[in-house]
Amino acid sequence: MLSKVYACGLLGIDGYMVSVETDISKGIPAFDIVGLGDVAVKEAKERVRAAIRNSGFEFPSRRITINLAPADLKKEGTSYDLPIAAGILAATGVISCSAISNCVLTGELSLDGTLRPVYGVLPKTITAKEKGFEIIFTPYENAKEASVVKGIKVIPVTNLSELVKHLNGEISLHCIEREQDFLSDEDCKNQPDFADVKGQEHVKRALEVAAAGGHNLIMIGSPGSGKTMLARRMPSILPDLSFDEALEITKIYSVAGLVPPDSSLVTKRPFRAPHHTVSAISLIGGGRIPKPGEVSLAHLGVLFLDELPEFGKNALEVLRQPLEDGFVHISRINASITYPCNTTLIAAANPCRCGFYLDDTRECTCSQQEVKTYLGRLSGPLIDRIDIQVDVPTLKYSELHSETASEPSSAIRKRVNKARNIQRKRFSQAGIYCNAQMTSPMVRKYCRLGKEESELLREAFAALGLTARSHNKILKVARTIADLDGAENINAVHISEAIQYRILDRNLY
Amino acid sequence: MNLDLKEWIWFANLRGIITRKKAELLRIFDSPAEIYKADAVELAKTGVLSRDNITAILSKEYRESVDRTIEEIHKKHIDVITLNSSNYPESLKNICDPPICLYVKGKLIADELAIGVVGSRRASGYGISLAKKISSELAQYNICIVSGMARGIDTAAHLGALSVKGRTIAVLGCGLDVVYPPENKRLMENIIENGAVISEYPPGVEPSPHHFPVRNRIVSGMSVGVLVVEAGEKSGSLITAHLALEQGRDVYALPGNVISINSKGTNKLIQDGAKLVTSVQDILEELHWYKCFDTKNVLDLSSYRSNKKINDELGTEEKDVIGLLSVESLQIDEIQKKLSIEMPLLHSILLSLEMKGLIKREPGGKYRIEI
Repeated sequence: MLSKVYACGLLGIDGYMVSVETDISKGIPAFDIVGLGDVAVKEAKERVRAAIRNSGFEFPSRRITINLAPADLKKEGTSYDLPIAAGILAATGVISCSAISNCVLTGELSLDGTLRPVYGVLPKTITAKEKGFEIIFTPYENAKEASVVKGIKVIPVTNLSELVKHLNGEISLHCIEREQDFLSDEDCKNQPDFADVKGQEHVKRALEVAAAGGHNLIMIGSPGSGKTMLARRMPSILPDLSFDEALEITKIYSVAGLVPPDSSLVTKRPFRAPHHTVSAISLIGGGRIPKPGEVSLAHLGVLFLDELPEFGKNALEVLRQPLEDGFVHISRINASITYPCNTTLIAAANPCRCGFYLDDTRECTCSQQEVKTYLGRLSGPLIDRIDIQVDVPTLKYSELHSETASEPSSAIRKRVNKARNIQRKRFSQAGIYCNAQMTSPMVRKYCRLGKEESELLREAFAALGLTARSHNKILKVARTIADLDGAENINAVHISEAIQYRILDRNLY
Repeated sequence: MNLDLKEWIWFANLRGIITRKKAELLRIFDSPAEIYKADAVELAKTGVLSRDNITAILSKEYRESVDRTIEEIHKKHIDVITLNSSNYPESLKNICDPPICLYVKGKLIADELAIGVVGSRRASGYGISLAKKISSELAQYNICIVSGMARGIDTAAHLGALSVKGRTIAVLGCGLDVVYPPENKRLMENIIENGAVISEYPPGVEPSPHHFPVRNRIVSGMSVGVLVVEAGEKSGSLITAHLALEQGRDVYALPGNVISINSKGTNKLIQDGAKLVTSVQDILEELHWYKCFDTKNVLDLSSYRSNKKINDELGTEEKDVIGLLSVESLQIDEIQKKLSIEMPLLHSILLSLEMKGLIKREPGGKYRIEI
C-alpha cells in the first residue's frame, strides 16, 4: 500500500515542495525514514508512532518506509511529523488518499497527537500556493502567519484525530480568514518617537538624511549622550512599510522562528541591536542548520551596532560584503542559501575607551595614543561603507528640560517618503532604489555638479584634508540632501552639509 | 673634542649622587679627571660624599660603561657638551644643579635668548592654538622657544616656532636615540634642523616618569622666562613654573576659562603672581633687560577679530556666528538655537567659515574661533 502526501521544506527563506511517500509492506516490522533527514526528522518515528496510537488509531505492525522526496536535499526540523503521520494513516486506509492530494501539511506532533507550532510557515504557504495547492493544514499558532497569503485556504488544526475527522468528512474545520488591516497606524504610534528626544537637532537631521537616502551612519559621542535613544527612533522615520516588504520581513522572521504566535505579519520595520560580543556567524547567519543572522533579521530595517570598536574584528570583517551586496550567501555542500539583508547600519562609538574624551564635565583617563588607536580600529573597509559620520555631544541639563517641543517622527517621515519617491522614480530603470546604492558610474550620472559646486568641493578637500574615499560618499549624501530639498541639482549648501558629515576622514580625533 | 670627555661622561653617568653634589665636587676638584684619579681617602676628605657615593665613584662598573656610551654617541652622531665647554648655554650654567653633560643633536648657541613654553599634554584646542600663535610670534623676534617635545602644548610650541622657521630647542627626558612620544618623530627631525634636541641622559635611556620633572629644570634653566599656556591642577608644567621661580626666571601664564579643568593651574599661577599674558608684548616688555624689541606691530590676541580684514567680506549670518563663537566654543546645536538658522544652511555657513580659516571644528562637534 502506497500513499503520497505533501509537505514543504525550507531553503534559505524560500520553501520547496517535499512529497512524503509512504510504503507499507509485508515483512519484519520496521519503520524507516529516508531522504537525508536530520536527527529531528529521524526522531519523528517515535513521535508519530505514539501520536497515532494515542489518537485512537492502529499503528501498523508491518514494514514501513517513508521517503522524503527530493531525496537529495537535507530535511530539517520537526515539521514533517504531521505529513508522515498522515501518510501512514493514508497508507493504512484510515484516510483516503484523494482527500489530501491537494493539501500541504506541516506541524510537529506531541505524543498525545496534539500539534505544536513550527517555524517557516509563511514561506511554506507561499510555496504551496505557487505550486497550485488549495489547502494548507498548519498548527493553530502558525495559522495567522500563514493566512496573509492570498489564494490558498489555511486550516488550523489542534490535533491529529481532528484532522482525520475533517478529512473523512465527519467534522468540518474552518479555514482562517485573512486579516484585512495588516499595516495599521496603531503600530506606528507605538514606536519610539523623535518627539521624545530633546536637543541633538543636528543628529536628528543626519538621521533624517540617512533614512532618506538609505545611508549607513555612525554616531560618535560620550556615554549617556543619547546615541542608543536616537538610533532606536530611526525605524520610525524610515519610509512606510509596503505589504510586499512586510511579507519579506515576515518570511525571514518565520524561518528564524521569531514570528510571535497568533500574529500574522511583522508590521514594524525591524530594529536589531546585537551585543558587541556577538559572533560572526550569528551576525551574518549560518551555522550547522543555517539560520538568518542579525543582519538579515534587520532586513528593511535598522541594524544598530552599539560600541562598534568593541565588536570582534572577525565579526566586523564578515559584515562588509553583506552590507555592500544586500544579501548573505551561505554555501553548504549540497545547497547554497541566500538571505536578504538590505539594512541601514547605524553604528555608535565612544570617542575613546573610557568614553569621556569629549566630555566637558568628566575627565578622560586615556592617553592621546589610546584615543588615536581606539577610533583608528574603525578605519578601513567597514568605515568605507558608512556614508555619514556625526558627533553626538553630551546634552546640558538645561537642554534636557527645555520646553520646546521636538518635531515628531511622522513629520520627518513625510519628508523622507517624499525624497524616497524622487529616488524611486530616478532609479526605476537602474535596478536600485536609493541613493546609497549608487555605483560610481551612477554617481557620475546623477550627481553632476555645477562649476561653483565643484570648486567648493575641491577647495574643501584641500582645506580639510579629506581623503579620496570620501569623494563619492559626499556626492551621494549631497544627492540625498538635494532630494530632501526637492531640488533637481545639487547646490553649494547641499554639498557643504554632506562634507560636514565626514568627521572621521578629517583627522579631528 | 674635549680631551677628558671620557671622565666627564663617567662623572655625569654616576648614579646616586645628586647633581647639586656633583657641582660641589667639581668646585673642590678641578675637573672630573681629578675625581677619577682620587682615592677613597681624598674623596672622604671632601665631606660631601656618603659611603655609597664613594663606592660608586670607585666602582669599575661605571668606568667600564663609559666606553660603550662614547661608542654610541659616535655611532648616532650625538654631540656632547660638558659643563666647561664654551658652547654650554650660559643661563643653564647659572642654575644650582646644571647638568654635567648635555647630549645634543642639532646646534646649540651659548648666549641665546630663549623662552620656555610649557603646558598640559592633554590640552584643549584653545591652548594648542594659542601656544602655536605665541610661539610663532616670539620666534619672529628671534627668541628661541624651549619646550619638552611632549604631546599637547609642547608639541604646539615647537610647531609654532618651526612654522616661521624660528629656532626651537626640545629638552627630552630620555636618550636622544629614543623618540618619545613616538608620533613626534618627524617633529624631532625638524627641530634638529632648526635648533637642537638635547638631553642629559645618555643614549639608550628610556623615558621614565621621574625623568620629566628633572628635565623641566633644564627647560626653565635655559630660558629667561617660562610661559605656562595651559595646566591642570596637578600638571607637571606647574613644577616647571616653580623651578623657574627658584632659578630666578620670570613666569608668565595664559589666563583661561575659570571653569575649564585645563586652565585651573594657570589661573592659580596668575593669582600667585605670575604675569598674565594677553599678547606677546607682555612677554617682550619683560625682556628689555636683554634686548629692546620694536613692539609697535604686535597685536593684542583679543583684538584679532576687529583687525581681520576678512570680517568685511562676511555675510550677516556668518558675522553672527563669528560673534557667538568669539565668546565661547559652541556645539552646532547651540549655535542653531541661538541664531535659529535652518540646520542645512548652518552647516554650509560653518563649513565656509572653517575653509576661510576663521573657525575650527573640534572633535565632538564643537566650533571655536581660530586665532
